[in-house]
Amino acid sequence: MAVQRIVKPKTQKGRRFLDGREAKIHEKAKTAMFIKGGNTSQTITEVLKELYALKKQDSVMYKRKNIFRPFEDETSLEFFSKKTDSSLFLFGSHSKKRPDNLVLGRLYDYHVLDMIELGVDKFKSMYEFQGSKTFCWEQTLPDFFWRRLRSGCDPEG
Amino acid sequence: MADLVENVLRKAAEKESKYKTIEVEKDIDVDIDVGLLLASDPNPIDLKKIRAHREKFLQDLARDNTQLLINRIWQLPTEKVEDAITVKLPDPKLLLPREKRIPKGKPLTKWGKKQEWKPKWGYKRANDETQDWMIEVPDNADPNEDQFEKKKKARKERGAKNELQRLRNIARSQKSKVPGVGLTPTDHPSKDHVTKALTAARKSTASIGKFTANLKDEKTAKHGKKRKFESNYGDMKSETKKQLNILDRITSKKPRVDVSQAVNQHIAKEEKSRSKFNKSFSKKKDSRNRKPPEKNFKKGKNNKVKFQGKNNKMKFQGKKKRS
Repeated sequence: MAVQRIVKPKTQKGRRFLDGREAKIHEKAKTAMFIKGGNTSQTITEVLKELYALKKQDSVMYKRKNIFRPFEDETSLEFFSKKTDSSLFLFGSHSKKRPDNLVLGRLYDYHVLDMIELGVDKFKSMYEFQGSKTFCWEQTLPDFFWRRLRSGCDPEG
Repeated sequence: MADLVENVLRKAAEKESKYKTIEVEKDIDVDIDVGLLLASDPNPIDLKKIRAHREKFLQDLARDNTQLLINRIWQLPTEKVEDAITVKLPDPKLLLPREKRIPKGKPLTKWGKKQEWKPKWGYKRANDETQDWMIEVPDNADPNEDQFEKKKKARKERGAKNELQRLRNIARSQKSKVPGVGLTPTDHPSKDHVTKALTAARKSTASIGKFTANLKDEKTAKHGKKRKFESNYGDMKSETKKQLNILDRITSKKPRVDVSQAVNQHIAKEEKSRSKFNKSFSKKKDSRNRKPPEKNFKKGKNNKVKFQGKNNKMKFQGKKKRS
Protein backbone atom coordinates (compact mmCIF):
# COMPACT_ATOMS: atom_id res chain seq x y z
CA MET A 1 0.00 0.00 0.00
CA ALA A 2 2.61 2.50 -1.10
CA VAL A 3 1.47 6.08 -1.50
CA GLN A 4 1.44 6.32 -5.25
CA ARG A 5 -1.13 8.96 -6.09
CA ILE A 6 0.11 12.52 -6.40
CA VAL A 7 -1.56 14.30 -3.53
CA LYS A 8 -2.29 17.93 -4.33
CA PRO A 9 -2.66 20.02 -1.20
CA LYS A 10 -5.95 21.81 -0.80
CA THR A 11 -5.05 23.98 2.18
CA GLN A 12 -2.08 26.19 2.98
CA LYS A 13 -1.30 24.00 5.97
CA GLY A 14 -1.21 20.94 3.78
CA ARG A 15 0.99 22.67 1.27
CA ARG A 16 3.43 23.74 3.99
CA PHE A 17 3.49 20.19 5.38
CA LEU A 18 4.37 18.75 1.99
CA ASP A 19 6.97 21.45 1.35
CA GLY A 20 8.59 20.45 4.63
CA ARG A 21 8.97 16.91 3.33
CA GLU A 22 10.47 17.90 0.02
CA ALA A 23 14.16 17.56 -0.71
CA LYS A 24 16.26 20.54 0.28
CA ILE A 25 19.82 21.55 -0.44
CA HIS A 26 20.66 22.00 3.25
CA GLU A 27 19.04 19.20 5.19
CA LYS A 28 18.12 19.41 8.82
CA ALA A 29 18.62 16.62 11.38
CA LYS A 30 17.51 13.18 10.25
CA THR A 31 14.55 11.53 11.91
CA ALA A 32 14.99 8.05 13.37
CA MET A 33 12.40 5.29 13.71
CA PHE A 34 12.52 3.02 16.73
CA ILE A 35 10.86 -0.26 15.84
CA LYS A 36 10.34 -3.40 17.91
CA GLY A 37 10.38 -6.79 16.28
CA GLY A 38 8.15 -9.84 16.75
CA ASN A 39 9.68 -10.76 20.08
CA THR A 40 11.49 -8.36 22.40
CA SER A 41 13.23 -8.78 25.72
CA GLN A 42 13.31 -6.24 28.48
CA THR A 43 16.92 -5.32 27.79
CA ILE A 44 16.36 -4.47 24.21
CA THR A 45 13.22 -2.46 24.91
CA GLU A 46 15.11 -0.48 27.53
CA VAL A 47 17.94 0.14 25.09
CA LEU A 48 15.48 1.43 22.52
CA LYS A 49 13.73 3.56 25.08
CA GLU A 50 16.91 5.23 26.24
CA LEU A 51 18.15 5.92 22.75
CA TYR A 52 14.73 7.29 21.89
CA ALA A 53 14.92 9.56 24.91
CA LEU A 54 18.28 10.87 23.72
CA LYS A 55 17.00 11.53 20.27
CA LYS A 56 13.57 12.70 21.34
CA GLN A 57 13.34 15.73 19.09
CA ASP A 58 13.74 13.94 15.81
CA SER A 59 12.51 10.43 16.34
CA VAL A 60 9.46 8.27 16.08
CA MET A 61 8.79 5.38 18.44
CA TYR A 62 6.59 2.58 17.22
CA LYS A 63 4.66 1.20 20.14
CA ARG A 64 3.44 -1.98 18.56
CA LYS A 65 5.46 -4.98 17.52
CA ASN A 66 6.26 -5.27 13.84
CA ILE A 67 6.90 -8.78 12.72
CA PHE A 68 9.42 -8.62 9.93
CA ARG A 69 13.12 -9.19 9.36
CA PRO A 70 15.08 -6.16 8.20
CA PHE A 71 17.75 -8.13 6.41
CA GLU A 72 15.24 -10.18 4.49
CA ASP A 73 12.46 -7.79 3.72
CA GLU A 74 12.97 -4.07 3.62
CA THR A 75 9.60 -3.04 2.18
CA SER A 76 8.08 -2.42 5.59
CA LEU A 77 10.97 -0.15 6.53
CA GLU A 78 10.65 1.81 3.35
CA PHE A 79 6.95 2.23 3.85
CA PHE A 80 7.44 3.46 7.40
CA SER A 81 10.12 5.87 6.31
CA LYS A 82 7.85 7.35 3.69
CA LYS A 83 5.03 7.69 6.16
CA THR A 84 7.05 9.38 8.87
CA ASP A 85 9.65 11.03 6.63
CA SER A 86 12.55 9.33 8.45
CA SER A 87 15.93 8.26 7.16
CA LEU A 88 17.36 6.37 10.14
CA PHE A 89 15.99 3.36 11.94
CA LEU A 90 16.73 1.18 14.96
CA PHE A 91 15.14 -2.23 14.99
CA GLY A 92 15.24 -4.18 18.24
CA SER A 93 14.31 -7.84 18.58
CA HIS A 94 15.03 -10.92 20.67
CA SER A 95 15.24 -14.59 19.70
CA LYS A 96 17.05 -17.64 20.95
CA LYS A 97 19.64 -17.51 18.22
CA ARG A 98 20.08 -13.77 18.32
CA PRO A 99 19.38 -12.49 21.78
CA ASP A 100 18.99 -8.75 22.27
CA ASN A 101 19.48 -7.94 18.63
CA LEU A 102 19.75 -4.34 17.46
CA VAL A 103 19.78 -3.40 13.79
CA LEU A 104 20.84 0.15 12.97
CA GLY A 105 20.33 1.42 9.50
CA ARG A 106 19.88 4.40 7.31
CA LEU A 107 17.85 5.17 4.20
CA TYR A 108 18.40 7.31 1.19
CA ASP A 109 15.46 8.56 -0.83
CA TYR A 110 13.18 6.23 1.16
CA HIS A 111 15.22 3.15 0.23
CA VAL A 112 17.51 1.23 2.55
CA LEU A 113 21.11 2.34 2.12
CA ASP A 114 22.96 0.23 4.73
CA MET A 115 22.32 -1.68 7.93
CA ILE A 116 24.43 -3.00 10.78
CA GLU A 117 23.41 -5.72 13.19
CA LEU A 118 24.61 -5.58 16.78
CA GLY A 119 23.92 -7.62 19.86
CA VAL A 120 23.56 -6.18 23.32
CA ASP A 121 25.79 -8.08 25.74
CA LYS A 122 25.60 -5.92 28.79
CA PHE A 123 23.27 -3.03 29.23
CA LYS A 124 23.60 -0.50 31.98
CA SER A 125 20.91 2.14 32.01
CA MET A 126 21.98 5.76 32.24
CA TYR A 127 19.96 6.06 35.41
CA GLU A 128 22.36 3.64 37.07
CA PHE A 129 25.19 6.09 36.53
CA GLN A 130 25.69 8.88 38.94
CA GLY A 131 25.24 12.44 37.95
CA SER A 132 22.49 14.57 36.53
CA LYS A 133 20.97 13.64 33.23
CA THR A 134 19.92 15.96 30.48
CA PHE A 135 17.88 14.88 27.55
CA CYS A 136 18.97 17.64 25.27
CA TRP A 137 20.77 16.02 22.39
CA GLU A 138 23.48 18.61 22.22
CA GLN A 139 24.83 17.59 25.59
CA THR A 140 25.30 13.89 24.97
CA LEU A 141 28.53 12.63 23.58
CA PRO A 142 28.19 8.97 22.71
CA ASP A 143 31.39 7.06 23.12
CA PHE A 144 31.93 4.09 20.83
CA PHE A 145 34.70 1.74 21.75
CA TRP A 146 35.57 -1.23 19.63
CA ARG A 147 38.43 -3.55 18.98
CA ARG A 148 39.40 -5.26 15.79
CA LEU A 149 39.78 -8.98 16.43
CA ARG A 150 43.00 -10.49 15.16
CA SER A 151 43.84 -14.17 14.96
CA GLY A 152 45.46 -15.51 18.11
CA CYS A 153 44.09 -12.72 20.16
CA ASP A 154 41.77 -13.47 22.99
CA PRO A 155 38.56 -11.53 22.39
CA GLU A 156 37.17 -9.68 25.34
CA GLY A 157 34.34 -11.60 26.93
CA MET B 1 65.16 25.89 36.28
CA ALA B 2 62.15 28.03 36.87
CA ASP B 3 60.16 25.89 34.41
CA LEU B 4 61.02 22.73 36.23
CA VAL B 5 59.91 24.21 39.53
CA GLU B 6 56.69 25.35 37.93
CA ASN B 7 56.04 21.90 36.52
CA VAL B 8 56.61 20.18 39.80
CA LEU B 9 54.38 22.63 41.64
CA ARG B 10 51.68 22.22 39.02
CA LYS B 11 51.72 18.47 39.27
CA ALA B 12 51.52 18.59 43.01
CA ALA B 13 48.57 20.92 42.78
CA GLU B 14 46.95 18.52 40.38
CA LYS B 15 47.26 15.60 42.68
CA GLU B 16 45.48 17.54 45.33
CA SER B 17 42.78 18.92 43.14
CA LYS B 18 39.88 16.80 41.97
CA TYR B 19 40.17 17.64 38.31
CA LYS B 20 42.75 16.32 35.97
CA THR B 21 44.82 18.52 33.72
CA ILE B 22 43.40 19.64 30.45
CA GLU B 23 46.49 18.45 28.69
CA VAL B 24 46.25 14.93 27.38
CA GLU B 25 49.11 12.95 25.98
CA LYS B 26 48.48 10.40 23.29
CA ASP B 27 50.84 8.21 21.30
CA ILE B 28 48.95 8.76 18.08
CA ASP B 29 47.04 11.97 17.61
CA VAL B 30 43.32 11.73 17.89
CA ASP B 31 41.52 12.60 14.69
CA ILE B 32 39.03 15.28 15.60
CA ASP B 33 36.30 16.50 13.27
CA VAL B 34 35.03 19.59 15.01
CA GLY B 35 32.21 20.18 12.53
CA LEU B 36 30.64 16.89 13.50
CA LEU B 37 31.99 16.93 17.09
CA LEU B 38 33.64 13.62 16.35
CA ALA B 39 36.90 12.35 17.84
CA SER B 40 38.42 9.15 16.42
CA ASP B 41 41.17 7.68 18.54
CA PRO B 42 43.39 5.25 16.60
CA ASN B 43 45.62 4.35 19.54
CA PRO B 44 45.97 0.62 20.20
CA ILE B 45 44.40 -0.68 23.36
CA ASP B 46 46.47 -2.10 26.22
CA LEU B 47 44.92 -5.50 26.83
CA LYS B 48 46.37 -5.94 30.29
CA LYS B 49 44.94 -2.65 31.50
CA ILE B 50 41.54 -3.43 30.14
CA ARG B 51 41.43 -6.82 31.77
CA ALA B 52 42.58 -5.49 35.09
CA HIS B 53 40.25 -2.53 35.52
CA ARG B 54 37.76 -2.47 32.70
CA GLU B 55 35.39 0.24 33.88
CA LYS B 56 38.14 2.59 34.97
CA PHE B 57 40.02 2.11 31.73
CA LEU B 58 36.95 2.94 29.67
CA GLN B 59 36.12 5.93 31.82
CA ASP B 60 39.63 7.36 31.55
CA LEU B 61 39.68 6.79 27.82
CA ALA B 62 36.36 8.53 27.36
CA ARG B 63 37.39 11.42 29.57
CA ASP B 64 40.68 11.97 27.75
CA ASN B 65 39.16 11.96 24.31
CA THR B 66 36.32 14.23 25.37
CA GLN B 67 38.86 16.61 26.88
CA LEU B 68 40.74 16.74 23.59
CA LEU B 69 37.55 17.45 21.70
CA ILE B 70 36.51 20.20 24.08
CA ASN B 71 40.01 21.72 23.86
CA ARG B 72 39.57 21.89 20.15
CA ILE B 73 36.14 23.49 20.51
CA TRP B 74 37.59 26.18 22.76
CA GLN B 75 40.22 26.94 20.18
CA LEU B 76 37.57 28.21 17.78
CA PRO B 77 36.58 31.92 17.82
CA THR B 78 33.91 32.54 20.44
CA GLU B 79 30.95 34.88 20.38
CA LYS B 80 28.77 36.00 23.22
CA VAL B 81 25.07 35.76 22.42
CA GLU B 82 22.76 36.79 25.27
CA ASP B 83 24.98 35.74 28.16
CA ALA B 84 26.02 32.52 26.46
CA ILE B 85 29.38 31.92 24.91
CA THR B 86 28.89 30.37 21.51
CA VAL B 87 31.18 29.03 18.89
CA LYS B 88 30.49 28.58 15.22
CA LEU B 89 31.40 25.08 14.14
CA PRO B 90 33.21 24.71 10.85
CA ASP B 91 32.04 22.46 8.03
CA PRO B 92 32.37 18.75 8.77
CA LYS B 93 35.27 16.87 7.23
CA LEU B 94 33.52 13.54 7.17
CA LEU B 95 30.64 13.63 4.67
CA LEU B 96 27.53 11.89 5.81
CA PRO B 97 25.10 10.64 3.17
CA ARG B 98 22.13 12.83 2.35
CA GLU B 99 18.64 11.99 3.36
CA LYS B 100 16.94 12.75 0.05
CA ARG B 101 17.93 13.45 -3.50
CA ILE B 102 19.21 16.82 -4.53
CA PRO B 103 16.21 18.92 -5.49
CA LYS B 104 15.65 19.76 -9.10
CA GLY B 105 14.95 23.37 -9.77
CA LYS B 106 11.35 24.12 -10.59
CA PRO B 107 10.67 25.76 -13.94
CA LEU B 108 9.66 29.40 -13.67
CA THR B 109 5.93 29.89 -13.82
CA LYS B 110 4.19 32.57 -15.84
CA TRP B 111 4.23 34.80 -12.79
CA GLY B 112 7.82 33.97 -11.97
CA LYS B 113 9.10 35.57 -15.13
CA LYS B 114 8.89 39.28 -14.68
CA GLN B 115 6.65 40.47 -17.47
CA GLU B 116 4.55 43.56 -17.71
CA TRP B 117 0.86 42.88 -17.67
CA LYS B 118 -0.95 43.76 -20.88
CA PRO B 119 -4.69 43.57 -21.51
CA LYS B 120 -5.89 40.83 -23.78
CA TRP B 121 -7.97 43.13 -26.03
CA GLY B 122 -8.47 46.78 -26.62
CA TYR B 123 -6.04 49.68 -26.52
CA LYS B 124 -2.39 48.65 -26.10
CA ARG B 125 -3.20 44.99 -26.04
CA ALA B 126 -0.72 42.12 -26.10
CA ASN B 127 -0.26 40.36 -29.46
CA ASP B 128 -1.69 43.23 -31.43
CA GLU B 129 -1.77 42.17 -35.07
CA THR B 130 -2.53 45.63 -36.39
CA GLN B 131 0.70 47.01 -34.90
CA ASP B 132 2.98 44.69 -36.87
CA TRP B 133 5.60 46.75 -38.61
CA MET B 134 6.81 43.76 -40.58
CA ILE B 135 4.96 40.79 -42.00
CA GLU B 136 6.78 37.89 -43.61
CA VAL B 137 5.57 37.00 -47.09
CA PRO B 138 4.86 33.24 -47.13
CA ASP B 139 6.44 31.12 -49.85
CA ASN B 140 3.23 30.26 -51.66
CA ALA B 141 1.92 33.83 -51.72
CA ASP B 142 2.06 36.34 -54.55
CA PRO B 143 5.05 38.67 -54.00
CA ASN B 144 3.12 41.70 -55.21
CA GLU B 145 0.26 41.10 -52.82
CA ASP B 146 -0.12 43.60 -50.01
CA GLN B 147 0.08 41.49 -46.82
CA PHE B 148 -1.00 44.36 -44.61
CA GLU B 149 -4.14 44.91 -46.65
CA LYS B 150 -4.75 41.20 -46.65
CA LYS B 151 -4.65 41.08 -42.85
CA LYS B 152 -6.91 44.09 -42.61
CA LYS B 153 -9.42 42.55 -44.94
CA ALA B 154 -9.37 39.24 -43.13
CA ARG B 155 -10.03 41.04 -39.84
CA LYS B 156 -12.96 42.95 -41.33
CA GLU B 157 -14.40 39.81 -42.82
CA ARG B 158 -14.19 38.04 -39.44
CA GLY B 159 -16.01 40.93 -37.82
CA ALA B 160 -18.66 40.98 -40.50
CA LYS B 161 -19.16 37.24 -40.20
CA ASN B 162 -19.57 37.55 -36.47
CA GLU B 163 -22.11 40.33 -36.92
CA LEU B 164 -24.06 38.27 -39.42
CA GLN B 165 -24.17 35.29 -37.09
CA ARG B 166 -25.34 37.52 -34.27
CA LEU B 167 -28.17 39.02 -36.30
CA ARG B 168 -29.18 35.65 -37.60
CA ASN B 169 -29.41 34.33 -34.06
CA ILE B 170 -31.59 37.23 -33.04
CA ALA B 171 -33.82 36.73 -36.05
CA ARG B 172 -34.09 33.04 -35.32
CA SER B 173 -35.01 33.65 -31.71
CA GLN B 174 -37.64 36.16 -32.71
CA LYS B 175 -38.83 34.00 -35.58
CA SER B 176 -38.61 36.81 -38.09
CA LYS B 177 -37.63 36.19 -41.67
CA VAL B 178 -34.01 36.53 -42.55
CA PRO B 179 -33.11 37.82 -45.97
CA GLY B 180 -30.92 35.24 -47.60
CA VAL B 181 -27.35 36.07 -48.31
CA GLY B 182 -27.68 34.58 -51.73
CA LEU B 183 -24.72 33.36 -53.72
CA THR B 184 -21.42 34.77 -52.47
CA PRO B 185 -18.61 34.94 -54.99
CA THR B 186 -16.11 32.07 -54.72
CA ASP B 187 -12.86 31.33 -56.46
CA HIS B 188 -13.77 27.72 -57.28
CA PRO B 189 -17.56 27.35 -57.63
CA SER B 190 -19.06 23.91 -57.34
CA LYS B 191 -21.63 22.43 -59.75
CA ASP B 192 -24.41 23.22 -57.31
CA HIS B 193 -23.18 26.80 -57.08
CA VAL B 194 -23.12 27.18 -60.87
CA THR B 195 -26.64 25.80 -61.35
CA LYS B 196 -27.95 28.12 -58.70
CA ALA B 197 -26.22 31.05 -60.33
CA LEU B 198 -27.66 30.02 -63.68
CA THR B 199 -31.25 29.87 -62.44
CA ALA B 200 -30.80 33.21 -60.70
CA ALA B 201 -29.47 34.76 -63.89
CA ARG B 202 -32.40 33.37 -65.91
CA LYS B 203 -34.88 34.96 -63.57
CA SER B 204 -33.21 38.32 -63.32
CA THR B 205 -35.04 39.95 -66.24
CA ALA B 206 -37.92 42.39 -66.43
CA SER B 207 -40.34 39.61 -67.22
CA ILE B 208 -38.92 37.37 -64.43
CA GLY B 209 -37.41 34.81 -66.76
CA LYS B 210 -40.50 34.19 -68.89
CA PHE B 211 -38.90 34.93 -72.21
CA THR B 212 -35.24 34.06 -71.63
CA ALA B 213 -33.88 31.82 -74.36
CA ASN B 214 -32.42 28.43 -73.48
CA LEU B 215 -28.81 27.61 -73.93
CA LYS B 216 -27.79 24.69 -76.05
CA ASP B 217 -28.72 21.38 -74.34
CA GLU B 218 -30.40 23.24 -71.52
CA LYS B 219 -33.75 22.07 -70.29
CA THR B 220 -35.84 24.68 -68.55
CA ALA B 221 -37.90 23.68 -65.54
CA LYS B 222 -41.50 24.66 -65.28
CA HIS B 223 -41.88 27.92 -63.53
CA GLY B 224 -44.87 29.55 -62.02
CA LYS B 225 -48.16 28.19 -60.96
CA LYS B 226 -50.80 28.16 -63.61
CA ARG B 227 -54.16 29.28 -62.31
CA LYS B 228 -56.99 27.01 -63.01
CA PHE B 229 -60.44 28.36 -63.59
CA GLU B 230 -63.64 26.52 -63.86
CA SER B 231 -65.74 27.08 -66.97
CA ASN B 232 -68.52 29.69 -66.88
CA TYR B 233 -71.08 27.28 -68.22
CA GLY B 234 -71.65 23.68 -67.38
CA ASP B 235 -72.12 22.01 -64.00
CA MET B 236 -75.07 23.82 -62.41
CA LYS B 237 -75.29 21.56 -59.38
CA SER B 238 -71.81 22.17 -58.11
CA GLU B 239 -72.17 25.88 -58.78
CA THR B 240 -75.39 26.15 -56.75
CA LYS B 241 -73.86 24.14 -53.92
CA LYS B 242 -70.90 26.42 -53.74
CA GLN B 243 -72.96 29.58 -53.77
CA LEU B 244 -75.29 28.28 -51.03
CA ASN B 245 -72.27 27.35 -48.88
CA ILE B 246 -71.01 30.88 -49.09
CA LEU B 247 -74.41 32.22 -48.07
CA ASP B 248 -74.59 29.89 -45.06
CA ARG B 249 -71.23 31.06 -43.81
CA ILE B 250 -72.22 34.69 -44.09
CA THR B 251 -75.54 34.33 -42.29
CA SER B 252 -74.45 31.99 -39.46
CA LYS B 253 -74.05 33.44 -35.97
CA LYS B 254 -71.37 31.09 -34.73
CA PRO B 255 -67.98 32.69 -34.79
CA ARG B 256 -65.42 30.87 -36.80
CA VAL B 257 -62.62 30.56 -34.31
CA ASP B 258 -59.45 28.59 -34.79
CA VAL B 259 -58.88 27.49 -31.18
CA SER B 260 -55.25 26.54 -31.54
CA GLN B 261 -54.46 29.86 -33.20
CA ALA B 262 -56.27 31.71 -30.45
CA VAL B 263 -54.40 29.88 -27.70
CA ASN B 264 -51.03 30.52 -29.31
CA GLN B 265 -51.81 34.19 -29.70
CA HIS B 266 -52.81 34.42 -26.09
CA ILE B 267 -49.66 32.68 -24.86
CA ALA B 268 -47.50 34.95 -26.97
CA LYS B 269 -49.23 37.99 -25.52
CA GLU B 270 -48.68 36.77 -21.97
CA GLU B 271 -45.01 36.09 -22.59
CA LYS B 272 -44.49 39.56 -23.95
CA SER B 273 -46.18 41.19 -21.00
CA ARG B 274 -44.16 39.04 -18.54
CA SER B 275 -40.86 39.89 -20.18
CA LYS B 276 -41.72 43.58 -20.03
CA PHE B 277 -42.64 43.23 -16.38
CA ASN B 278 -39.45 41.36 -15.50
CA LYS B 279 -37.27 43.93 -17.24
CA SER B 280 -38.75 46.76 -15.28
CA PHE B 281 -38.47 44.98 -11.93
CA SER B 282 -35.28 43.00 -12.55
CA LYS B 283 -33.02 44.81 -10.06
CA LYS B 284 -35.42 45.68 -7.27
CA LYS B 285 -35.54 43.23 -4.38
CA ASP B 286 -38.70 44.52 -2.76
CA SER B 287 -41.10 41.79 -3.61
CA ARG B 288 -43.97 42.89 -1.44
CA ASN B 289 -45.50 45.59 -3.55
CA ARG B 290 -45.26 43.92 -6.83
CA LYS B 291 -47.68 41.42 -8.22
CA PRO B 292 -46.05 38.26 -9.43
CA PRO B 293 -46.94 37.31 -12.96
CA GLU B 294 -49.83 34.97 -13.21
CA LYS B 295 -48.37 32.21 -15.22
CA ASN B 296 -45.14 30.30 -15.06
CA PHE B 297 -44.43 28.41 -18.23
CA LYS B 298 -41.15 26.90 -17.05
CA LYS B 299 -40.70 23.24 -17.70
CA GLY B 300 -40.62 21.20 -14.54
CA LYS B 301 -42.32 18.56 -12.49
CA ASN B 302 -43.97 20.94 -10.07
CA ASN B 303 -44.75 23.68 -12.50
CA LYS B 304 -47.80 22.22 -14.16
CA VAL B 305 -49.95 24.83 -15.73
CA LYS B 306 -53.62 24.21 -15.45
CA PHE B 307 -56.19 26.13 -17.39
CA GLN B 308 -59.82 26.49 -16.78
CA GLY B 309 -61.55 27.78 -19.77
CA LYS B 310 -64.82 29.51 -19.00
CA ASN B 311 -66.24 31.95 -21.47
CA ASN B 312 -62.86 32.06 -23.05
CA LYS B 313 -61.29 33.29 -19.81
CA MET B 314 -58.12 31.50 -18.80
CA LYS B 315 -57.57 31.22 -15.08
CA PHE B 316 -54.31 29.93 -13.59
CA GLN B 317 -54.72 27.10 -11.15
CA GLY B 318 -51.20 25.76 -10.63
CA LYS B 319 -48.49 26.72 -8.10
CA LYS B 320 -47.44 30.35 -8.06
CA LYS B 321 -43.71 30.84 -7.99
CA ARG B 322 -42.38 34.10 -6.67
CA SER B 323 -39.64 35.13 -9.05
